Amino acid sequence: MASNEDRIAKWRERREAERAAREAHGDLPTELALVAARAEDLATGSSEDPEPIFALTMEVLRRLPSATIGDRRAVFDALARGIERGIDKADPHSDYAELRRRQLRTIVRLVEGDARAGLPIAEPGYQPTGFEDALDPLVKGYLRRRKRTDETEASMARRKAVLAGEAYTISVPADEEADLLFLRERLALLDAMRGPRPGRHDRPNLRAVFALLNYQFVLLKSESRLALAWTLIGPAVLMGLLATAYLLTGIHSILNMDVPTFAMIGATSWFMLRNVIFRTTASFFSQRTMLTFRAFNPALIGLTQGMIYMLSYVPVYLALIIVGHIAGLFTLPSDIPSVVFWIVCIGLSGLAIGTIFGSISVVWPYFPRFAPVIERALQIVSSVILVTEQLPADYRPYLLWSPLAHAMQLLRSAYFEGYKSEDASPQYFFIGFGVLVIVAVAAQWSVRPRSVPL
Amino acid sequence: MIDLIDVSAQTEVYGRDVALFTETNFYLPPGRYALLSKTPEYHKAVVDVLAGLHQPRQGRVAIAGSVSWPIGRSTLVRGKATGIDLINLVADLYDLDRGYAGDVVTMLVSRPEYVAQPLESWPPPARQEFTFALGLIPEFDIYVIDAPIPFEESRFTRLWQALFEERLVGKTLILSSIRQKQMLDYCAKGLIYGRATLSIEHDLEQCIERFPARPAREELGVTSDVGGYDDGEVLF
Repeated sequence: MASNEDRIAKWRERREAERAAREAHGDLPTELALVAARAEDLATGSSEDPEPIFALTMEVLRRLPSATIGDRRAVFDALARGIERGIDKADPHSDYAELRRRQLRTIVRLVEGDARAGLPIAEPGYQPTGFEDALDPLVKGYLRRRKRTDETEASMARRKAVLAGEAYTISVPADEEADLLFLRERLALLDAMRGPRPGRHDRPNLRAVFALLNYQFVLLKSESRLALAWTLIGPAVLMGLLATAYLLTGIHSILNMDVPTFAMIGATSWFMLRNVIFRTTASFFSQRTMLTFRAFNPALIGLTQGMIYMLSYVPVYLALIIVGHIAGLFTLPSDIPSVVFWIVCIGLSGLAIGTIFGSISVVWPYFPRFAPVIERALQIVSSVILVTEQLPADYRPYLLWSPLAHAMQLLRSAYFEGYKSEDASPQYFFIGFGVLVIVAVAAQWSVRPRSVPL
Repeated sequence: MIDLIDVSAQTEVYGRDVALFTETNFYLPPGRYALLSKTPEYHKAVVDVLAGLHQPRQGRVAIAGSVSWPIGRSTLVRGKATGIDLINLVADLYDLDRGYAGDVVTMLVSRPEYVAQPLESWPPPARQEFTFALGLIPEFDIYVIDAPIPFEESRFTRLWQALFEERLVGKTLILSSIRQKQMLDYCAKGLIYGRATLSIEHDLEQCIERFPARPAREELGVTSDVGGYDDGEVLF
């Protein structure tokens, strides 16, 4: 009984389909109208697989008469008509419609070619020759076009969001979701832990100085070990030369100062000075990338670099004096605070000179080549090798014009109990130092408009 | 946001001193701008002035709010310091927690193993990612970007763009990039540089047509603002 009802239902269904098909494709014979109606569904979906088109084509060709070219053409026309109608119903201009049209056309071309060549197209399992080769490019091209369309749509949506001032959400794959959440949370923490008013962090301030000092210290640590060893060896070599010259001429004591210590304190201080000068000068050029941060300026970069190198001489002095004293070479300083004070003064002079040189190098990049020459000349007139009291009174002014000579002799006065310099004057040094600082400030200020980040 | 008051500035373009601004007065209100001009070789200098990094010869640049450094310049990533050192510098400078800042950068970049190595040994893609990751750490009122924003399809690009989009809400952006799509993706208006001054154009699409993107030219004197070829030949 049930099968009978089934049969009735099926018959009714078929009649409905036939009536609908005739309504749509009334000019076609009923069978072909049905084919056309079935083909409509092929163009309304979203699958780009050509297999259903091929399956329908073959099924119809096997069922209906298809022996002559005319018969086959009638079938193909009906299929094409169905697909066109499907396209009209769905979206007449989409890339998908074009894909379906082309797929049908290609299948028809292949099948018809095989049929005319006498191949058994009606047999089950028949596959037209070159099926994949002909149809794959269509699908690939379609997918490419669709991707491009999607991208265009996405960028249009984005553009709209930008113009409206809204946030556009970038979609992230599911496996990166966790990372994004983590990063978002970390950024929120960073923002939350920031001080109450972060508005002025891009201006020069104390924080910037410390940040830069820290960075310069890291750079110093990353210097080659040889360069660091040279901070010790350099002064030792100059000291050795000076002491040997004195000792060979039979001089063991200069105005109550023993020759090794005299040479050591002069050589080490001078090496510190020249290192501070060169490092400060060089960083005006070599660390221009740091100007990328608004809080930094060339002078700040140079000064921090010079200061770090100045500080690096603390262990050098300590090592030389302590080890030398244990070895019986050097005497210990008599007035430690004054010694430290004058060493710092010499270092600060180096910073000022370095800043002046660095400023000149901004305008004239070749200038740092002359810095060693100038430094050598200064060394001769800066009481490194001898103190003015050793010279006849007539020759003393040739050295005493240099504020550094005063500082060096005052340093030795502080170091040795038995020597008190008569010629050196702190006032003269400080006036000279003040002039240096003023010139340095003016120089670095005047080259600011020429200092740009790399 | 950014106010140029009687600004006169010079810059060096391919070894020649040229006037960048001459007594320029210009006010840049908040918004998102793409820097465009017929002379892309001046863009770096213009960005330097707008970001307050180039002190003008005359006049002054008043910037309200915090301004970023020009994000994306790979010149920052060089030298003997390691990536960690640079992260620490930025964290110290902007009063941020060093640990969290390091977390963000190492989590974001594709090759975190480089972060602990000296910057000079990094391959260019790692440098580029690092500079952009670094730019996300502090929050700014004005973002200045002087490089093409990451665009290759990758995890870094997606995450960076997603986070930057959130950072950018309600903020000002100045973008100097050679990629037109990015201008449209990020900017609403055009910031036009020409004849030693700046101006704002509201129709960005039309601006992009007028000033087609091209990388800064290596040749000297081919730009209309500097002079023609003849000029260059006379001088050299």
